[in-house]
Amino acid sequence: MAGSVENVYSRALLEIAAEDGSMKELDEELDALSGIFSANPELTDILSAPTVTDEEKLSLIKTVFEGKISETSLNFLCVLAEKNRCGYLSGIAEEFRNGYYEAAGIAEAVVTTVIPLKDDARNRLRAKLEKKFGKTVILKEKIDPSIMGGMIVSSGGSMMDGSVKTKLENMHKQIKDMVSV
Amino acid sequence: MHLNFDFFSIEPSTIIGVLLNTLILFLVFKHFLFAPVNKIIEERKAQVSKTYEDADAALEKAKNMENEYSEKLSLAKEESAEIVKAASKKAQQRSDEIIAQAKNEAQGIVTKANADIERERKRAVNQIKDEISDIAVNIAGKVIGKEVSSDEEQERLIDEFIGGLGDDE
Repeated sequence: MAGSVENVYSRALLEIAAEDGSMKELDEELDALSGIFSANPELTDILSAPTVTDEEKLSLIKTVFEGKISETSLNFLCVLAEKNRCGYLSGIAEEFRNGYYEAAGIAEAVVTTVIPLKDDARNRLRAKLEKKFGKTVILKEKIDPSIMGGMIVSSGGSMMDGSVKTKLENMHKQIKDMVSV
Repeated sequence: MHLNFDFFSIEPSTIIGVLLNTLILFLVFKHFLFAPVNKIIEERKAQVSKTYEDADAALEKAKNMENEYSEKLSLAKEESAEIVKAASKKAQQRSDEIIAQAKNEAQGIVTKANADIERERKRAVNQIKDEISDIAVNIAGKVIGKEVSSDEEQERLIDEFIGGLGDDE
């Protein structure tokens, strides 16, 4: 659950992005930045260190990211660094994505399978889900051998579980219920 | 008329004298003897009569007391009978209560013991059945795991799921 800091920043970013129509780009950039910061924790450490001056932080950000990301993203990073809130980046990116998806009528569906989806299956699944949700669906694919087979689709609060593992568990439960005295 | 006998003579003067004598004697006696004697007799009479009255009164009193005592006694008897009756009734009630309580407790113990036994039995049976179902599902899982290990089978399962999506609407 995102806290108020994430909410405040993500809402501000959404407003800016809505104005110049750069939501999709900003979402992708935030996602990428979030990934970079997660993969390099020392980046967050430096940008949050009290011994590093604001000028040094801004200079570091500009050296690393200038020209590679949009001005909006760059300014946003600078604000976070100045306020020592780089640690909230991934939360803000997540909140931004939620807001963006909501505004654009996009639903993200996490698809878990044992083997990677083939293009044909992916397209059919997306079409079905889009029809079901009445939204554009972005699939996020995960491989998890522990589900044994089939597929689990979860989107927002709903979950469609067609995994062999769950079927086995249900069967197990049914047998237990059946034989219980 | 004058009769004269040697051994017997009637002289009117003598007769009068004797009569006077007798009268005087009677009066003297009456004055000095009869009155005191009569007084003594009267006193004696009164004493005797008082004694009788006293005796009657005492007897009356004794009778009253006897009546009173016998009344009290009968009352006491009734009271004691009542006390005994009440006490035995109470004792009977108490003993009934104790017996009923003991019966209840015994019944409760038996019921609880039966319930415990039944619960334990169910628990044991369920445990065994759980174990059996665990083993069964475990085996089924292994068999199915082998069956779905091929990519073809996985794709078939995925296609099946996608095909079934939206059917429930």
